[in-house]
Amino acid sequence: MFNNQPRPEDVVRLPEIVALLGPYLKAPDLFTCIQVCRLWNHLLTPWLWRSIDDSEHSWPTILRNHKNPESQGDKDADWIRAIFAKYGHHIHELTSQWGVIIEVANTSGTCNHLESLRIGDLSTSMTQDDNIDGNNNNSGNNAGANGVSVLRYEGPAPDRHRVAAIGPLLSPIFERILEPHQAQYRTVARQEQDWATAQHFWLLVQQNTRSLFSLRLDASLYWLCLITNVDFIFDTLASLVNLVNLENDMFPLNPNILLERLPGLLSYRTRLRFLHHDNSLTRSFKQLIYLEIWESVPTQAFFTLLKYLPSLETLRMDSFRGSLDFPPLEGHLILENTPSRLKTLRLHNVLAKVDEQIANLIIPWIPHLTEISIPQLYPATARALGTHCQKLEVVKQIDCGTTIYQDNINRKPVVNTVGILLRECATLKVFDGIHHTLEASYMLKYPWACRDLETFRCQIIGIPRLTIAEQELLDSTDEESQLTDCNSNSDNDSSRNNLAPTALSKKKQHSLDVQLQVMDHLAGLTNLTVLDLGYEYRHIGYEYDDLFEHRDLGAAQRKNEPEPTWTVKIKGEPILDSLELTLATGLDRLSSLTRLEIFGFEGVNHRIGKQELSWMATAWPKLKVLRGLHEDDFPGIAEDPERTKLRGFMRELRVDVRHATLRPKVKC
Amino acid sequence: MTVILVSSDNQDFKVDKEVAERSILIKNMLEDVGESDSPIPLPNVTSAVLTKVIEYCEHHRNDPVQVPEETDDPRKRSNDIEEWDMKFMQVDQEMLFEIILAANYLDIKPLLDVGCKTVANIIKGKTPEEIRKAFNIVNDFTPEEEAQIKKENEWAEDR
Repeated sequence: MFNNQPRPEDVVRLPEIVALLGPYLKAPDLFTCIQVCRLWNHLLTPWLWRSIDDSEHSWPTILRNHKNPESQGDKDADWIRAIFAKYGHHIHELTSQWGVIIEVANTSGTCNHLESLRIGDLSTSMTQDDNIDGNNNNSGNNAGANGVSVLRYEGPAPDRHRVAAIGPLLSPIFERILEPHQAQYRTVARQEQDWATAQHFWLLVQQNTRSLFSLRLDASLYWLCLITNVDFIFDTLASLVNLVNLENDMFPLNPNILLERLPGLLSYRTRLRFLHHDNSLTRSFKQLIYLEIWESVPTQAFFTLLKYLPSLETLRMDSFRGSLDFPPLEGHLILENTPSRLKTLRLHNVLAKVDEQIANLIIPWIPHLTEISIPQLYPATARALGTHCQKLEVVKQIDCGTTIYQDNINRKPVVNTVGILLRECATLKVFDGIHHTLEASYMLKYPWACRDLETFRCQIIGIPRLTIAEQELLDSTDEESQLTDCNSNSDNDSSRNNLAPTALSKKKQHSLDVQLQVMDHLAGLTNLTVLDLGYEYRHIGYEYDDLFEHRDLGAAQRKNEPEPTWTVKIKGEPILDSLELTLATGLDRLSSLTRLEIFGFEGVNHRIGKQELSWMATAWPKLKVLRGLHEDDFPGIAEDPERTKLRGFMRELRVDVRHATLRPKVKC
Repeated sequence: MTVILVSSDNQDFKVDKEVAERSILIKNMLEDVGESDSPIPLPNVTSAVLTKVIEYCEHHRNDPVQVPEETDDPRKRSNDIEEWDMKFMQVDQEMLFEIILAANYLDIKPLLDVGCKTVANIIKGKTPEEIRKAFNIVNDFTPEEEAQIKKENEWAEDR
């Protein structure tokens, strides 16, 4: 087939090259590729099957209907069994929330190269049949995640509560360890199915003791069966010789035993109780570098964690508990005067009242911090970060990638704390806190220590702008005075009439001066790639019609009464005293920001027009995203025609610039 | 220090050693040979292609050596091609393939990656028949095989 010297068109026939395409293609495209020819099929099928997530692509539809094959050809349990038998050995990552997939993955005997096994919420995965079976009163309207029907409590059914499922023990190793669970509100059939799923799951884990390095145990696993001997869990986890990453939402595991049994564990996440006064850490464990705890941690326990996890680099927790009662010197004692090596601290919630405590008691003991996530920066904390954390590069208001802009909407921002940080912290590269506000006067009064900012998301406020009415008044008097000048017809009263316009002119000049200075300041940040100066101030509130307000909705639904009408209310106020962002007010001074990729003025009362957009289109060649002219997707809100016009104009100039919003997508 | 590379059509290219060493093949050759100013023949690469490859290596001469990929995410994104690389890859398909072959032969991993990303982007959203047409590939499946592959993998369709 080939000469010695490959011809260019042979690229798509060279196995070593075709195989390289795999990682760059997603499943739907890989599915197309394996239908092209035998060679491509052979080389790319392993990539298609490498990662299976049964909540993606056509899996949810197939699985929902797999007991009802007429509806979709013949993709039933046998079909699933057959394809897993044939292709299961390619699977390296399996993410599943369906009992049938777990069963088939186990019984096929081929899924023994799993590197990652992540169990999702098994309680939401129901077939059409399960739904009818378990939900006689109300079939249809129980949409859960991905539109999958969810079993909801509809009152006791005849065979619930008292009857326990009995099902076969699939392996003698489970004897006196696992038992069927008589969980309430499940039919006996479902209990039996869950009992089997649980056993298949643990057998699947045991098939992959050499390969697994990542495991997620979902909360729903807890309901599948009773685990009467916790040592079984520890033994099974300890048998996974390469396990480095464990996410456990199944039930709380004593951290001392866990870390003792898993000496190779690098990362642990749990939404359950990690520390308890009975099982807080009692000795040092050097392996863990990443810990996510989805609960608040008592301050004392925080120091114990830092002391006994000396390699810990990242810690995520909800908040500090009991900070106020914390005796000042105990942190020193627990840490034996040795500061922690912690590099990243992510806090989900911090209250203003513990600001001083965090600043004085916590921050000095984590001086190696390079990154902190904190929903709201308070003044003492800001100052302490600048003083103690000499390597701090990143301050974010976002916790682990999930945006918290929405949560913050009703919280009054604390003004200028970001200014304190920027004054003190010379190493800062990222300030990603769009909910924070900084007054122009404060910004100009205190020079910033950091000049290498790459990302700056913050509202600059306090610009003494003229209101539209004031501007109109000023414009009209300008015209009048021009007319008066032309006529050379001076009036005795004119000096009195001009008093107000003179004050307005002064105000306008002052506003201009301030804006030019702010722009000059920003223009000095030549490393900026992201500059966001505002965010979506509007949010949606739903309200019932008055008629329905006090009604029992569940009862109404059962009686097939009409759905109540929701009224959408848009709430929130725009930022009025923000930068005008026009060429007349110094926007063109930002021509030094040649690296800028993202520019945002969403929610800002800006006065950007065609001139400004033309300027941006050429001054910022790397611009990829503009926030502020995007399509409005608030339900029931008519698109602002001016914005639509400007967006169209920008699209003509720069087709490569995307118009986006910082706001997470709202499900309507 | 410079080295001389000779293309398959016998053209000499004088390039900085640092630039030439973006190619692991050439780097190893130079290490094996030691100090020598004899030209390096590259019989698999034409002068037109070598010009492009050298242009790429010149632009990326100061890039850090690629770190081994992280093991936890074998899937890569094809939409993160750098702006310069994207423009560099705006060539006809024959040249694109020639560059990929040369990058493979010369062992220039980042160039090979960019080439593969570009091909992946061409593939995206196409039907099997459109791909065959684009790359001049013959369908060697029987209709039965085709039907079976489709049925066994239909879960991967986005619906």
